[in-house]
Amino acid sequence: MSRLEDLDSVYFSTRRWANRLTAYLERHSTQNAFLSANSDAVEVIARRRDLGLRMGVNMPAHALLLFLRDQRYKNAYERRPEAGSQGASSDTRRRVDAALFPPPKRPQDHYFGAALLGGTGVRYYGDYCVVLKEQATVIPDNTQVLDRNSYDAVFSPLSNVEEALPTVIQRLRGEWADDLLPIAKLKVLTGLADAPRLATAGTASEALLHDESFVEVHKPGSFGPDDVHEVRESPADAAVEADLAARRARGQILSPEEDIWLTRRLEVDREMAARGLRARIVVTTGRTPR
Amino acid sequence: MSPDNQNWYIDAWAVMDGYAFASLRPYGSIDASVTFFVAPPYFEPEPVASLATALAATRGHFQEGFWHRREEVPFDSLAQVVETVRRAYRGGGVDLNGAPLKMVPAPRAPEGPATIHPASLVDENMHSTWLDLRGVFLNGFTSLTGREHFRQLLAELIERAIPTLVPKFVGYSICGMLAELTHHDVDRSVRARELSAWIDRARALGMRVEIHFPRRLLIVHSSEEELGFQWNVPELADLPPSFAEITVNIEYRTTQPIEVSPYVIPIPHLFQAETRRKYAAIPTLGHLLAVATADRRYLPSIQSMHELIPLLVLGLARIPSAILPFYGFPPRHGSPELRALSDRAAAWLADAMPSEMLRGHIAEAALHAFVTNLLRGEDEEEVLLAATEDDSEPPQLLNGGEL
Repeated sequence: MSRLEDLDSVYFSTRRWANRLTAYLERHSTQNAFLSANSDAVEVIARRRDLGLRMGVNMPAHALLLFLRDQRYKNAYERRPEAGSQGASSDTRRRVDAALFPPPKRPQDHYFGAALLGGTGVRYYGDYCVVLKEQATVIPDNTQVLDRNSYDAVFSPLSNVEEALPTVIQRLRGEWADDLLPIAKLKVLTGLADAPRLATAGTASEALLHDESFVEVHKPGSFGPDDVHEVRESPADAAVEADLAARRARGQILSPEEDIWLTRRLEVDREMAARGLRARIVVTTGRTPR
Repeated sequence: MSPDNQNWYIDAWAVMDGYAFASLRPYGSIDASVTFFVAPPYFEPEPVASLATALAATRGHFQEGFWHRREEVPFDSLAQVVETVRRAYRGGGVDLNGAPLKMVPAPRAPEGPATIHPASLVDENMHSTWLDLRGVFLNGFTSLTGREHFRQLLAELIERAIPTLVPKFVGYSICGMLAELTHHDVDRSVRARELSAWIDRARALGMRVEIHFPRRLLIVHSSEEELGFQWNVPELADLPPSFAEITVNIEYRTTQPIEVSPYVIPIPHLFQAETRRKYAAIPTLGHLLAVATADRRYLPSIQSMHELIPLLVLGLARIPSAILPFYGFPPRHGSPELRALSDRAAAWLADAMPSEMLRGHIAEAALHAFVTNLLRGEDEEEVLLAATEDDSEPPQLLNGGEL
């Protein structure tokens, strides 16, 4: 059985994230002269107003409508199952939560999201990416972040290391103000590998949140529509919406699920407009198509 | 269960939104062979790299798995999972936007001794076709031939219903919409546009709708000119006479017709009076779309042929304006327009009805409980347990059509 540092002695070291980044740059910049420049580029991108490092929560249409109605986002501890009966409490969830939130922290006080550099978030969790404002009143500086999906820690290879789960989590966590930027840089730079070119905003955005891979944010306390910077949609969903509407206009009868999906999206449009929420179509790379 | 003790299980499920992750794995385990993700509107399963992605979904609005009596519910195939998720999504259409459920229309006062009850418009042939249709549905149809038989029976019923029962339904629904216009808490202009679109749709289906202000009457003529029904609508006293102009026949329009949302068409009490005693009251055709296409128990719960009419009207209402008969060619008896209309509505309905893939599976009962829970606003767990006590299909109709 290996130890965490055997996986990567720099990345999984016990040092603070900023020091790990420095060590990573020292180790690799001799072979890749672009690495330091790209590190600086990520920093510039992270501070850009249109992109910026922000917390995003993906929601499908009905969940978003409930969020707007209730004026408050709910976490897993505040919800009941919509179908079937209440299940047994998941042992995996309890183990991960205990490691993420040691006392006096409590898991039920935290709300999960992903760190974004532009883009539309984790599409598997919803077609609308609700992006929160970056103010300290919304995301306090000491908000906990994790360099990955916390459940990754219970799967191989992290589940196979000698260290116990709380130690693994301890090694992967950081804080919003001090650690998120170095975590983001490490994720983006390792994603760029040895490419002999400067990172663009789009490349950085995609590297930070790529498909299923994201940096997790554990916001203390809930949030409401007033805390929302904007709601982002992907062009793919907008295209499907336009296609369904066009098919109907041409005389094709939509299936019940297509009908409900389209109608719900119209409801979301109406609600967001009524509440003055900014909605944008954004491509995965964080750019607005026009 | 498969030889290596693996089944398909739902790992994370946003039921109302139709998002779900499912894995092939042993019971209660996170050691998955594969994990798939599905979402609307296509529900095409796609593999994901890690079960961790599914588990992380439960941090927010996804429920953790699918449980019954504290046991994870197993599925034999990914197709069964997708069918469950898709039908629950359809059922979630009962709660389209998180707003309180629309009120079920109250029964209208009897129009007098001369009132024609919709049940009296059901002839022997229609009744017999309805019993055949119900039988085919209860027996299930997995083959294309079975589905085609079901579609043909539906088309036959629609064709027979268009001259009489459909105008009867449309008239009652217009009465309800006119009454709603007199409420002070609604946006009258929005409601009036919806009503106008519905009247346009009725005209495309061959009906002629007239509003007589001085006599406070609504008259709906069938596509067969000699047939028609009239209703007293005292609520017209509260509307300006200019309102009657929305029913004036306009043979040529330069603008695109407004598609009518099924969520604004009330289902009149008379067309669900019997069924609602054993099932649940359904406010609009939109809610019916959700219920009938999600819950396999809905169609067999219909107690009389005339109470099938809302479903047939739903089929007609889903046909896009672009392929409705031109006003100059109303769908009269024996016309190609009537046949095409009936065939299109029947084909859509036949495809939209719940399949029998979940027959005998706990998900079937759970879907029924989920839908009735949304309609009644009852506690989900209680309803699920009540539903699973009696997992059988509702009884067959006795000859005569009413229990």
